[in-house]
Amino acid sequence: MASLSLRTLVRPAIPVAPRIQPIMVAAFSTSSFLAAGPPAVKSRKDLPKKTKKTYKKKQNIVPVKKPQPGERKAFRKRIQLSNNSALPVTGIESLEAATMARAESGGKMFAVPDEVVDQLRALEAFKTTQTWNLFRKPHVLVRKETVELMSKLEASVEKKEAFKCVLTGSALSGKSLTLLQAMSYALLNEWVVIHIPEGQDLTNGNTEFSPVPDTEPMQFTQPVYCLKLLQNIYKANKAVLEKTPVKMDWSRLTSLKQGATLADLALSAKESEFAWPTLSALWTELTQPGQPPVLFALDGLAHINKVSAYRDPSFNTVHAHELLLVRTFVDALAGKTKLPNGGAVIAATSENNTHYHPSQELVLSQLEAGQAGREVPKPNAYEKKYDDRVYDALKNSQVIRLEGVSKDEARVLMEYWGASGMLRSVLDSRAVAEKWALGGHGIVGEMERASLMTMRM
Amino acid sequence: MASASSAGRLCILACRQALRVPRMPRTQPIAWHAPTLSRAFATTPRRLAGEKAGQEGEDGDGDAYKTLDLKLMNKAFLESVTPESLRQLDELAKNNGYTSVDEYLEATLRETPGWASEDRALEEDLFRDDAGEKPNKSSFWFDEEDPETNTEEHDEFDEDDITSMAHGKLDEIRDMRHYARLAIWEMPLLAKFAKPFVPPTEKQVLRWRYTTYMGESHPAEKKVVVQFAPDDLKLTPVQTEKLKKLAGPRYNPETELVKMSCESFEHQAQNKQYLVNLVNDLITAAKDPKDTFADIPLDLRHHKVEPKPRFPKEWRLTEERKKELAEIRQKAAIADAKKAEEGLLVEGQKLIDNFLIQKLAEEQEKERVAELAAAVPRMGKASGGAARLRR
Repeated sequence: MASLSLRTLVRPAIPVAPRIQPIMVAAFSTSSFLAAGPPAVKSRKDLPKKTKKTYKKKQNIVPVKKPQPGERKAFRKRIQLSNNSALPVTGIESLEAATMARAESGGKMFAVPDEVVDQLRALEAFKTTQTWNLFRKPHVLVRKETVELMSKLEASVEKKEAFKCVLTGSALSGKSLTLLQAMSYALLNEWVVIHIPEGQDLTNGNTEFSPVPDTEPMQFTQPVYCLKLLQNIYKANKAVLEKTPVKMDWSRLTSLKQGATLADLALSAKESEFAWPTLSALWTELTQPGQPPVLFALDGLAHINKVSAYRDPSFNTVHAHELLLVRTFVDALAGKTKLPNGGAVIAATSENNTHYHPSQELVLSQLEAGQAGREVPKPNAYEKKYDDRVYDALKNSQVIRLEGVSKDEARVLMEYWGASGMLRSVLDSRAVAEKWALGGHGIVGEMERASLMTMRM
Repeated sequence: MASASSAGRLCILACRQALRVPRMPRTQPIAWHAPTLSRAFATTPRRLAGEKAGQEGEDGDGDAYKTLDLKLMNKAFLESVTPESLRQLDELAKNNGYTSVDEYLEATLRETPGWASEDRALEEDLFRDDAGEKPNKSSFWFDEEDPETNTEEHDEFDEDDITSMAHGKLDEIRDMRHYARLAIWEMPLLAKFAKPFVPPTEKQVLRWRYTTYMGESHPAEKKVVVQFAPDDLKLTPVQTEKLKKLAGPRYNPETELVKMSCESFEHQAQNKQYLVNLVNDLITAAKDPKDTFADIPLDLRHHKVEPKPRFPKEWRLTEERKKELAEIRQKAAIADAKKAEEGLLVEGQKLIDNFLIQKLAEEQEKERVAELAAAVPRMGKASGGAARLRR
């Protein structure tokens, strides 16, 4: 049995036909070659190469110029404020110093003067998400809330007291644009305007920071950002700053000539190390009595109320209010820093780029309810994430809520669009009502989406 | 003789009754264990018909009759007789000159010539009756293990019945009609037991819920649930608040009820007693003025109120609203018509066309100017050529 099973393992001896076997002649033998073995490996080149056969057709490789570093970002961030294909709109007044504060200019379009456009551009007031690039020239709609805000700005100068406010409202309702209008009002009235275009730039850890020595808890400055901000302030407010003399002695910081102006002070910071001290000096100067009024504006409020992405040397997290630039703004908003010449501190919330901040939500809802005379909401006793610093920073401000525009305002706006050649239909009340309803009862951004961004030419 | 014969028949009958019990195992010889029977009268080894049949198969039928030994299974007979009747039998034997009934019976059987044919036939009948019919091994349903299937009844179908599905349907219809009858005739009688609803009085602050499965036992049967409103307990506001705080997640702020249940104990009554004690404890604790919990806010994190979007009342298209809307639209239409008359209505397409026409005209003007500007020197050149020609 065992032998049988073993036999089954042996290969069957099939007799091979003798003819098929090659007749071995010594001359043709390869045995010596085979015996020699494979060629010796002397270098990496001799190693057997793996070749992958591809059957793909070779494509014509056209040399494409790769974008330079930063070119794509610049393209993404570019701001185009005019469009030569759009029709020029005639019969629209230009903004003047007191225009926006007058009640009768509510519900009208106004052109932004060219010099103000340049200043606003220097302040980075225009956003890439806004549709400036569809029109020949920047125009703005002065709406009811704008008039309200501007009259308050006007009053602040008379009262010599800072107007502190937070702009809030639905997404795309025009908070940033109202901020822009406030800035243009300030520029037209020869205020000094300081604008932080994105709160998140300060706290998301993308710009350099350095600790301030001998501070407890440790505070930080952001030198590069401050230098850029200083330059922007100078560019935008050149005319006003050059008229305003320095009142205090800054000899420990920089050597200024007798009778130097604030422009000289701003320009004295050539390097980022001196940016923060200079900015701080400029701010101190501006908060002295007798100087021009100041507008300090910031967009993206929620980002400066959180714990920032920075770490201190012992790797503890840094609250955004420990960053000195943020603190300057927050102190001004809280009323700790007085503005004796009048002026305003305006923060705008962002709805698309934000995070839920319980304290901010609470204080804004409380302020709003208080202003409207409604019942003030109580804090949730079991909420853990309240931040008293944020609450204290915001509790002294006013809230201006922006929602949709009225139908009349929407009509004015859409007639401007139509006159620019952006709408082809006849703009009767039906067409306006349709877009107004599609835009969530007049949310301007949504109306733009519904009528301008879905165009089929 | 006749009496003896009748006694014999009696014995056979008794045997047969005793044998009826192990009738089935005859086809199943292995699985069956014979009941132990004490052997009273015989010294021969006991053999059962089944054993033989199992060993010899179908041939063994003839021999199987032998096992119907008269002496063998007389136990039943023995049990049924009284000592008196035995004595009578003995007397009968003695009278006929034999010592015992057995001997007498044997002799009688031997001597009786008609026995073989007459009683053998009877015996055969009896045996066939006991063993049942022979199983048909070629039957589709034949199964050695399961004697119940060894019948012919499944195979026969005389095309005289409806399908099983149809039977099922009929059953269903029957059921439904049964219930319909119940609903019509029996259910109205239940109204007799109806009781009017009596709302709970102010003293009945606890609302109990029990579960019954109508007599069936069920693990959920023991569960008891109690609900009560802290506001109904006639406590002071501070005590009521404390009670709500003590109830924790069992307090529902929407219904303002505390709901508790218990199924820890085996019986409903025990669970209920536990809940009663618990509620009493809660109330005593709430009344305790030592710590009023005033400094602790009421925790409602366990209850999320889902806002339910409802159709706003203002949006309802009532007659007035329709009229109002029609008016507004009419006004708007009039305003539009007026604007159109004055030429103030913005018409995008028209504006674009006008602009393009204007642009085109301007360009043409420009071209004409350029052509004119170009034509002047050409004219001069042409005149020069003419002069040349003239020359």
